[in-house]
Amino acid sequence: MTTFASILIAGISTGAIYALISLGFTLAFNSSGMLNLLQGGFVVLGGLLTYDGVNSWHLPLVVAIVVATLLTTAIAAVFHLLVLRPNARRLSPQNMLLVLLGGLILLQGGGQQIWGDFAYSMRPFGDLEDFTVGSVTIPAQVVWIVGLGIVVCAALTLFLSRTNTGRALRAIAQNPAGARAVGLRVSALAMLSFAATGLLGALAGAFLLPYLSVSMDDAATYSLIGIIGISLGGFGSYFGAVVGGVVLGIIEALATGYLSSLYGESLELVALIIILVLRPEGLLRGASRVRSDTGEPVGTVHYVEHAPRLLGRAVFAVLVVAGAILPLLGFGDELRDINLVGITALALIGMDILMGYLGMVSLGQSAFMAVGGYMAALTVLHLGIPTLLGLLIGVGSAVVVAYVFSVVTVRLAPYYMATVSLALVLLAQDLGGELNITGGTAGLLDIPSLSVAGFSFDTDFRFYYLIWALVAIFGFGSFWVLRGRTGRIMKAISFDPIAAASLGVDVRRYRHYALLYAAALAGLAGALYAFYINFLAPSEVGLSESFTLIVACVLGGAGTLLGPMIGGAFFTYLPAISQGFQQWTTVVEGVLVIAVLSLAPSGLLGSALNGIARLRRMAPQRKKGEVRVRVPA
Amino acid sequence: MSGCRLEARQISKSFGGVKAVDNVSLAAEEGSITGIVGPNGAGKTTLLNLLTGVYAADHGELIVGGTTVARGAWQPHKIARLGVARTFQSARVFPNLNVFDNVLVGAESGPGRTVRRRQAGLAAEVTALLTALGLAERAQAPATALPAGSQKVVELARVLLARPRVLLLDEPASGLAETETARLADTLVAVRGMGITVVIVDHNLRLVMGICDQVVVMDAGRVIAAGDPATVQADPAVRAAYLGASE
Repeated sequence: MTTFASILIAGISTGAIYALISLGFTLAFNSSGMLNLLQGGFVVLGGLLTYDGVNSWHLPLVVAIVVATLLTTAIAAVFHLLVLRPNARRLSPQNMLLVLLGGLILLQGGGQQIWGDFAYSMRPFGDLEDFTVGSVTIPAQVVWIVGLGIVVCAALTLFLSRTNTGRALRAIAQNPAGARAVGLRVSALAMLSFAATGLLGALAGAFLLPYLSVSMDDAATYSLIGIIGISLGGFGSYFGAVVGGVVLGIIEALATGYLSSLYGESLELVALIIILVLRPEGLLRGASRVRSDTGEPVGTVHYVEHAPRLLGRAVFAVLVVAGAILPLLGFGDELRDINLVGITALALIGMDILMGYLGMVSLGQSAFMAVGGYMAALTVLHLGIPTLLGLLIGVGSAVVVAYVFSVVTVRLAPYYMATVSLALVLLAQDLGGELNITGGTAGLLDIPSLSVAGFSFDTDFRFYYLIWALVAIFGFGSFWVLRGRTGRIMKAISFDPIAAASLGVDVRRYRHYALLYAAALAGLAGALYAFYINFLAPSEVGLSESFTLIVACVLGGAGTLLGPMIGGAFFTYLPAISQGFQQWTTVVEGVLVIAVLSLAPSGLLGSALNGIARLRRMAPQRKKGEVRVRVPA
Repeated sequence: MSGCRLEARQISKSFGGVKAVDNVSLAAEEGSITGIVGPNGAGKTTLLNLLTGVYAADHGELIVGGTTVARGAWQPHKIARLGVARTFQSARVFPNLNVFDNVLVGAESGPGRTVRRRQAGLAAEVTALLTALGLAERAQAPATALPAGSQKVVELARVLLARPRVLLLDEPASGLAETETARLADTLVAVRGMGITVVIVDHNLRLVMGICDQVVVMDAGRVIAAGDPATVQADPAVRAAYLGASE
């Protein structure tokens, strides 16, 4: 009973924090219809700034909290003003989600430059001692946290129901077009509420600091928690956000208390999946379904011209010849980095099919790499099976996981799919780091090299031909398939699935098989990585790897297959050869994804192809058999 | 091309507490034009979304040419493969495809085997269609580079390539000039001449009354009158609910 009471108290206090995070999500969702992935970053930022305020700048606690909150709010406002507002009506929801993801990467990467990956903590506010009621101990900070939760809920309720600004915000959530028509300044209000999410997040982080520790590493996790919270409570409902957050906190505490912390996070994922499948409208919303599924697509999708056939063939020929003779030119260690580019390229083919062709935002690629890599390495190490068989088992396992993932998410809106894939990646990362069999965060060592029929791919030189042959086969094979009908239908689905379905296209089937194919390629990449480096750790195939794949796609030009590989080369080769670049990779990734989507959404190769097409159109057309005569002026 | 009968029996659809379509029955005969009219919010577009599977109905039956649509088959692509094609209120072309490829997507309507068999001769078919509709010159342009009226034509070419048995048009005349509307009327009459069943939702009463064999008037989710244009126009309930109020 005592245990249960302490667990319940722990659940309610983390629940109060989760409720604040979910409230932040709801505010942003209601004012601009977006999932504010930065929210977790705001939480961590608020906590760490408070820590610095007290410990480095020697401010009184209250002042430190105020300063941290104001700074975070200001950062949120500036991000909205400079990045979100100009793109709000220009980008598709998927690309907007990517911009927000870029913001999260940037915040996390920048924060890591300042605070590193360390976890920070401090004494409870006011240096209070823990209370004891009967035989139950209540940590002092819990009182502060629950108090903050109640105050914020009361203030927000009053604000939304009693003030004109609050009523305007509710009006925008109901009907943005109508709100605009009656003269509400929608974008200003959206900025206000986005800044408010920064405020809520920072407060949550500051109050969390003495209770749990706060680390820059947790930013994405807190964002995920907010998304799970509003999924539980129902998108758009403030009351639901609070209930969802508290319920989530209690679930987590019960699982952690009675099972283990590992199950705490796994159970959150399972809760999310069950909710999304059974009640996509949340626990509280009753039978009312939001009528949004026929809505017309918003935002522009970038148009990429076909490459001129002759040019395409020339590039193909050059690549094949150059690729074949490259290692003969006497590369040393650099061949290894080129091989890593090849492994990334394999995973990127799948990523681009999902993102560039089908418009699905999936963070799952690195999770499938992890499944492929670990299953291949573990079966070979523990069962002693041949490496080729291990490779196939790795790929097969990735496909099986993707199958389950697809069945769960394929009928959900793109937002939910991105969410579930984020959960999947974090789960894979946690499992890899905490299970004994995977070697924990230290990783698996002494994985043998791949050998086929006695021939071992154990040198950079041998592996080079293996990996690049595979890239060529899958790259050009995919290109060949996507050039025609399949690619056309996928691009139609990516912008307007309803219009495509009304023409007889089985949207789910395309999404399903694309996911399986992408997962197979990712699993293959993961398994090859393990066999090539002879080592595998969760950090190699974690969330940051998925970020890199997404940024590579966006930078190179999503939907062009070759473009993402160029982007992938940039992000695999540069960090490999330069320590300085490696340190700043995350920041560069964040900046690039935002900049490319804002300025040239077609990416490097897409913009180049469009430029070539424009030049060709400008050039005078010559018909067959026509002779041009220069007439002297 | 030939058409088929489209029938809805007592279909209903609610959103939250609102009955958007309430117990509506409707039969569009093979080779006829049926017009659906009614004030804003009458449930016309929801009805069209039900007939094309964007929503599955809460209650009621949908019968396409003798085939009753099963619960699990009440999905857009499955209904499309029964030969029901539609256009949207504002043209929904695919902005990431050029005009030619936009029209090509129309060939997806049918069981997989038929679709694959059709692929060979498709390019010629699309070119012919675009030429007939006056868009051959712009075939390689991004679809959204065309003016809004031409985008509607692209959408029409797309559904025509699907060789529909039933064609549903959501406000085809909105945003069109007088002469363009006249051309649209001629096109629709020609489509009916091919035996295709046509259902249009439109606010342009002159167009609807001019070409339809049957007019269905909706208000607040219900059918308040149905019959040939002259009868409907004389109906006092219709005058009260719609015509009287707007003119």
